[in-house]
Amino acid sequence: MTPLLQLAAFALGACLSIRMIAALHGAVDLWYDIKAMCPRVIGQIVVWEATVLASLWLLEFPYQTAFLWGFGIYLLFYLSLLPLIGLVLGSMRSDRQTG
Amino acid sequence: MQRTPVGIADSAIAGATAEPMKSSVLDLDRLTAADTAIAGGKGANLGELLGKGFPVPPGFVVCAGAYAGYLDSLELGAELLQLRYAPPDEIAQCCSVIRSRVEGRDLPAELAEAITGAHTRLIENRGRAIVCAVRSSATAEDLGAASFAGQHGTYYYVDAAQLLKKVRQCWGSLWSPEAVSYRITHGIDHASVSMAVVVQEMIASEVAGVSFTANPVTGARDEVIIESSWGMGAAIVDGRVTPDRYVLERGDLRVRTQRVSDKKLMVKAHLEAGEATRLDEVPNAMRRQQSLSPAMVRTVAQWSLKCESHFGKPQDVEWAVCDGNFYLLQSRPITVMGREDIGRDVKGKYVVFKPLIENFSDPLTPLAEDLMTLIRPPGLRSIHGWLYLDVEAIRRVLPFKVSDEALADHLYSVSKDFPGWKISISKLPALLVMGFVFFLVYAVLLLRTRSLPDGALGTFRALCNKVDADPSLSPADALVRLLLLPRLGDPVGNMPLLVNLASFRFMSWMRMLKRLVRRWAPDLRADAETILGSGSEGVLSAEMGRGIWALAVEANRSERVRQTLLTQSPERALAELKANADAQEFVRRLDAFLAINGHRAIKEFELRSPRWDENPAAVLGMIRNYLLIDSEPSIHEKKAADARVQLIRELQTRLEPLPLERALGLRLRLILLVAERVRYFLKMRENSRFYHIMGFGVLRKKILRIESELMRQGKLKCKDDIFFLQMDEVAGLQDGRLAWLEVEDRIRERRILHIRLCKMGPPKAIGIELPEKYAPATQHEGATLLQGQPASPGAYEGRARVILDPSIDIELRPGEVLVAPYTDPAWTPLFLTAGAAVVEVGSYLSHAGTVAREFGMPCVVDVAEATQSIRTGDRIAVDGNLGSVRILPHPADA
Repeated sequence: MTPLLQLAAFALGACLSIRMIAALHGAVDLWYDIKAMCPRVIGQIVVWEATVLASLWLLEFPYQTAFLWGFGIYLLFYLSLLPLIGLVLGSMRSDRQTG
Repeated sequence: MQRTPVGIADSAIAGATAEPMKSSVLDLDRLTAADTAIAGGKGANLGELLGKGFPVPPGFVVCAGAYAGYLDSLELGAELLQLRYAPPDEIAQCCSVIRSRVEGRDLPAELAEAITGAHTRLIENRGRAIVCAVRSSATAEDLGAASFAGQHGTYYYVDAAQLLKKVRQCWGSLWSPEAVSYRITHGIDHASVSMAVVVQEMIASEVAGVSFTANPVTGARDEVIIESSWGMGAAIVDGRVTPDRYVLERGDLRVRTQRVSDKKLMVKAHLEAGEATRLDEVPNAMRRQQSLSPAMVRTVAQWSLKCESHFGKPQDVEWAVCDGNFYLLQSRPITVMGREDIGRDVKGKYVVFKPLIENFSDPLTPLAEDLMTLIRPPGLRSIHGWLYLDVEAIRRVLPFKVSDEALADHLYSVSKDFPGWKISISKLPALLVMGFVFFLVYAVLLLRTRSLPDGALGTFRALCNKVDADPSLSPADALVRLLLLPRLGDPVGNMPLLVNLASFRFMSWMRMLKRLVRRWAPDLRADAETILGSGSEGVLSAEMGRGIWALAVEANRSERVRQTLLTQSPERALAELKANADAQEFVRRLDAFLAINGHRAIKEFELRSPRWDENPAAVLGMIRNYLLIDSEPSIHEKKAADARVQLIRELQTRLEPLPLERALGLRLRLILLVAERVRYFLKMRENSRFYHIMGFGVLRKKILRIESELMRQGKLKCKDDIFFLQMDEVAGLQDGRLAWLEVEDRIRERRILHIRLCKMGPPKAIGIELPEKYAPATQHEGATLLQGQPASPGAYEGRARVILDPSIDIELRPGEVLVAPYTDPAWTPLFLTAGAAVVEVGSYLSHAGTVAREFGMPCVVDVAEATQSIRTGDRIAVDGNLGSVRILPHPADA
């Protein structure tokens, strides 16, 4: 059972990472009216951060480690997306970049 | 692509010197149709017509033999052999060498004297100073289906000093990369093509045009088509103006239909000393005025039919009118390029990409096409300026057992219903992996766009301004930064594109809505889901429509403003309003409107289309449309809102008998929640387009700046020409690798091809047959049945009003059925008075469908050739549920 539960904890970590990143994006997406949107943005960040912390607190070793791996790996994956897409797009247009 | 070199026979290199130099120049009236080998197709035909008494301007021909002798004297054997074996990427370089030799060397003295002598005689015979038109007349111009239109040089306003140079340039145009490539593609031996040059008195025409004694697109033989515009005909041939168009019954020359266009530009018949450009603006009073009187329409048609009668086959005639006299400038057989010829050389199976095509059926210009496909999404391909979906590529990645034909049908119809294909087990593992990766990449985006407030994308405007102000960014760089890959710190970044992608979730929400409604209220009206999914607040295109309505209300407050808008052309009206103290509030509001919506345009995906902030004439045209109608948009919106409220009540009544529904109302809440999601994603899709177009506006501004600089340097001669170049060619002009002479022919050729393609419209599929339901009109119970796609439910019967351009054809009487080639926001006011709408292109998601649903009127889209099959005044029955249109027989016919 342990490997399966570890996998589940890993997936939970990744899912909460996605939620957390989306909540943090809220600050940028709603920056145009941040004064009015502040409660919504902060509320979402707080809720998801609390969920992450609560999960960490509730989980025990080795599930806690699996959770952290899931959380961290997705975060790294997400952060690498922009440069990766840049490289792909750059290679796709490199032979035509004359305009 | 492997190209087989076409032989340049030794005879071409040696030159056909058999034609003696002393007969190298012949007067036009000495030639007959049989002299094609001497005078080329154009010269021989004109000579034949002149000899038979047709009103052809006098002139002479520098014969093909003279060209052959001149080519021989240049000793180009090595260069021509090099061209023969040149790989495709070296053809342009080889052509450049040959062309510069042809155009750069003086003509042999004897030939030069013969030409100048003939020119002097021409002037003496006319008894006054004249300028000439110097026109290429290739000997292979009538080879089978090949049409060389636009590839060979034509020069106007030529005087004695320039004559010899222009003759050489005509000969040089035979060796342009385009002409050489065209000959290679069509298997025409270079040796079989020689070139004569026609030198004629230039007719200083007040009106000119072209006519066809058969429809060049459909091949219909019972029609004569005339296109005319002010000034010289070159503006029509090159596509710089949209000409007036008359379609006549061949039998009695009765005008079947006519369209008077807004003719903004004309090519002047006289070039003043020092003037470099011959394009001029048409005076306001003449722009929307008919360029031909009814009598002159008949005259043109009669002479055109005489040409056909003389040559024995349908003719394409160029003509001019000077001082009320008719002149024939050219007559040649119609070279029909059918829609089926488009993409014939393309391998694979493609179906047209409707989300773009639904907004206009014209192909993109080369520059716009180049930019739009800068980074080609997988599964998409541009063919002649139209974007197509690659059916085979898409089928390979879909986890369904489906044939190419069924998939093409589904992709084309952009149906909101899932076709129910079986899942392919063998594709599932790969698909699951792909789906998982897709989820990892897009998961955050899907969450971010779940409930984005209306104003969130608004900061994209700041990014647009920032990119616009950065001169170091080329149009291509701007495109990438605005729509594909923003920099860190760019406000909102490429969210419009991402939101557009994410908003396609509306389809699954719509499917869920349909299932829920049909499960719990199966006998509710057929269009229940459509009504529940409409009526969003904050749709920017709807806000824009309301903004124009508000401007119309403001205009109505002052009788003077109202009259100015109703009686003056938009440009003149704007000038008058700005100078009028009473109109300052209106002008201020107009400016405020343009500050928000100024990036929009008619045919707004095309970068060549002027934006409203450059020329607000289209906005003033829409305001004028609103001034002409009695009803106001809010009535229609209220009608649609009332229908929604009533439907929800009806739904509630039907759900109440179900267990626990009366107490908890869970089913109704669930349906309304899903409907709200549908509305939200549809709104996001529409709004993201608003910002896409804003990005395109920045690209256009950057292109116009480049154009302005190139025109200042003399590297481009006419406005808009830049859109017929590709990005690397524009860069070549900028850095000096290319000059005007090297791109002039390309621009002309592409303009002419563009016009042809515009007239034909895109084939729906290439390399694959779509099912018969998209077939053209059929007869059904005495009525002509046109089949399309349902876009807004309901049935309606009424008189048709065919409208081709909302800025010109503005009269739509209440209750008439709007028949249009496409629609975009500029058409919205016409929907207010229409009883129903029939549109040639589009899908359920298109502008016409969206607006029609909002206004609660039946709409059928994707009706092939509707504007040609239906005539204004026809009584038609529109069925928005079945997607059919019936043209009912006239009582007299019945």
